[in-house]
Amino acid sequence: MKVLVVDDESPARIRLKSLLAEIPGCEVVGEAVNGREALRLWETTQPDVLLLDIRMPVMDGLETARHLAGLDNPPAIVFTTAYDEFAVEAFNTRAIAYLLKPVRQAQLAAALANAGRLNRVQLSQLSEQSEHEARHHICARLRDKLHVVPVDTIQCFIADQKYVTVCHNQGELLIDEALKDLEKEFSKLFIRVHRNALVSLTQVRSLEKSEDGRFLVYLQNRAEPIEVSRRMVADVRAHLRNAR
Amino acid sequence: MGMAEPQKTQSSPEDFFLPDFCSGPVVLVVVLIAELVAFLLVIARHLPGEGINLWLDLARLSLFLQWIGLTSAGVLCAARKPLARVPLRQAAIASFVLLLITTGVLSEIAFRLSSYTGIGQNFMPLSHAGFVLRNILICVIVSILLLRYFYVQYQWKLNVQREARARIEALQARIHPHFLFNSINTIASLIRSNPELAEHTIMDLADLFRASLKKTSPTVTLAEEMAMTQQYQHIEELRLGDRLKVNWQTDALPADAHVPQLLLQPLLENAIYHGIETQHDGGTVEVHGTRDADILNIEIVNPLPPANAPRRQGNQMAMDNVRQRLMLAWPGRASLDVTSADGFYRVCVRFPYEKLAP
Repeated sequence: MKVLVVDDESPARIRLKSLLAEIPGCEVVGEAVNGREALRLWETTQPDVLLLDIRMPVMDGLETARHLAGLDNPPAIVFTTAYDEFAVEAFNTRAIAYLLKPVRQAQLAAALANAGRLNRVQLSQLSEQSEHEARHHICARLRDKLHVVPVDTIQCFIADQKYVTVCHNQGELLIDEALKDLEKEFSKLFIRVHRNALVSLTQVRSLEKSEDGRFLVYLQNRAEPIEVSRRMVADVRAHLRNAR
Repeated sequence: MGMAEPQKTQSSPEDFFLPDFCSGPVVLVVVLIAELVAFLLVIARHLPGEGINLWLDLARLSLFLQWIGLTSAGVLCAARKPLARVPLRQAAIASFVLLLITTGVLSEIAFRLSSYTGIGQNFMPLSHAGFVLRNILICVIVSILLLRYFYVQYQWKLNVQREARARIEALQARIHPHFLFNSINTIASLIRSNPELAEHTIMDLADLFRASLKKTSPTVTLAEEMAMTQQYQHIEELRLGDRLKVNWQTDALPADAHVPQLLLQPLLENAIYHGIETQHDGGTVEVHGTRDADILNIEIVNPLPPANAPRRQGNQMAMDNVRQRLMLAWPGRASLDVTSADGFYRVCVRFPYEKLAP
C-alpha cells in the first residue's frame, strides 16, 4: 500500500513516517507540506492512500480532498488533525475517515486497513457545509497530469458547448464544470458579463463601447476584450463603481 | 432573622455581616437611624394641636435614643472581632442579645438617674418596669430590622465581589486547544528522535499551562512574562521549523515593570497562528519595545497571509481578552490598538511603568 504523507509540520510528518514504517505492507512514497504539493506529487507517486492534514497553508486538506475527488480514480483519504471540533463533527456524521494527532499506531493501522475509496457524495456534502465553499484553486486533469491554478490568477471563465475554458495568467485550461456552479461558488470574486462568460472583478480594467455598438470589458493581463451582453451592462457598471 | 446559611463561619472581620461600627460613616448611619426612630415615636405619640410641646419631647427622646444608639455602636464595635469567629447564626443572635441588654441597662440607668437627681422627672413615666420593658420591646423590633438590613447589604456586597472575581477568571487567558494537541504531537515525535529535547519541551509546556490554568491573573515582572513568551516560542519553533522567526527588540523595556501574567504570550500566539502558520514560507514576527518616560510600548507585528489563502477566524477574542485585562490592571491608563495595513498586522500595547511592590 503506497501512502503519501501530507502535513505542513515536520515533526508531525516524521512521526507518521516512523509509525508507518512499522506497519507491514506499507510504503511511504512521498511527503508534501501542503495540498498543492500533494496534488503535484499525486501524479508521480500514484499513492493508494493520502494521510492529509486539515490545516495547512496555501491549500488546506479539505480543498485538496475536493480536487482529488474530481479524479477518475481517486486515492483513499484519511484526514489527520490535532484539534478541529467542527471538522471532526462533520467527519463523524458523514463517516469520513480521520485520525486525531498524536496518532495511535493501532488506529493508524486500522484506518489504513479500512481505507476505502473516497466517497464523492459524502465529500461534496462536506465541502458544501464547510467554510471552504469557494476553492482557492481550480484543478484540471490534462492527460496524466493534474493542473492546479490559484483562483487569484484567473482572468475569466468562458463556456463552450461542453467545457469551460479557464483563462489564467499562465495560459488556458479546460474544466468539466458548469458555469452556473462556478458563478455561485465565486460570486465574491467573479461577475457574469455574458451568457457564456465570468470575469474576475480584480482584473477588470475598463468597460468600453466599441464602434459597432457592442460593450466590451478589458482585463489587466489579457489583450483581447470580452463581450458584455446588453442585459449585464448595468450590473457590470455598478460592480466597477463599487470596486472603486 | 431569616439567615440563609446557619453554619457558615466567617473567617475574618472583613467578611463579617456587621459593618465596622467604629468607622465614621457607620456612626453617622447609627445617629441617623436613632433620630428617625425618635421622629417615629414622637409622631406616633402626639396628635398635632394637643398642646404638649412636641419639640421638647423630640429633644428629650433624641437625647435618650442617641445615647442608646451610640452606646450600642460602641458595644458592637468591641464585640465584632469575637463575633466574627463564631457561626453566622450564633453571631446574629449574640448581636441581637447585646443590643437588648444595652437598651435595658441604659433604660434602667436613665430611670434611676432621673428619680435620684430629679432631672427630667416630669418626662419620665411613673412605672419603672413599664418604662424598661417598653424600651426593650421597641429595641427588639428596631434591632431585627437593622440586623436584617445589614445582613442583606452584606449579601449584596458578596455578590458584587463574586461577580467581579468570576469576570476576572473568565478573562484569564486560555491557551488554544489547537496549540496543546499540536505540541503534544510534536513531543510524541521528539520522544523517538530526541528524548532530551522532548523532556525540555514538556517542561516548557507545563510552565505555560500552569500559568494559563491559574484562576486569577497574577502580576509578574516584564522579564518573567517575556521569558514565558519565549518558552512558548521555542515550542512553536520545533513545530514550524524555519517558517517561524521572531525578532525581539526589547532592550529599551525595564525588566522590573509589572504586567498581568500572559499579557504578551497570547499576542505572539495570535501573530503565529494567523500570520505565520497560514503561509508556506512563514515569516518574521517583530516584537519591538519602546519606553516613553513612564509609558511602555510593545508592538507585535506579523505579516498577513495573501488575500487568496486559507484564512483563520477568531482573533478578536484573544485581543478583547488582553485588552480587558489591561483595563482591569490600569483603568484608563493602558491601551491595545490593532491596525492592519500594507500586508502587516500590528498590535500595539501601551501601559504605565510600575515597579512591583516589594
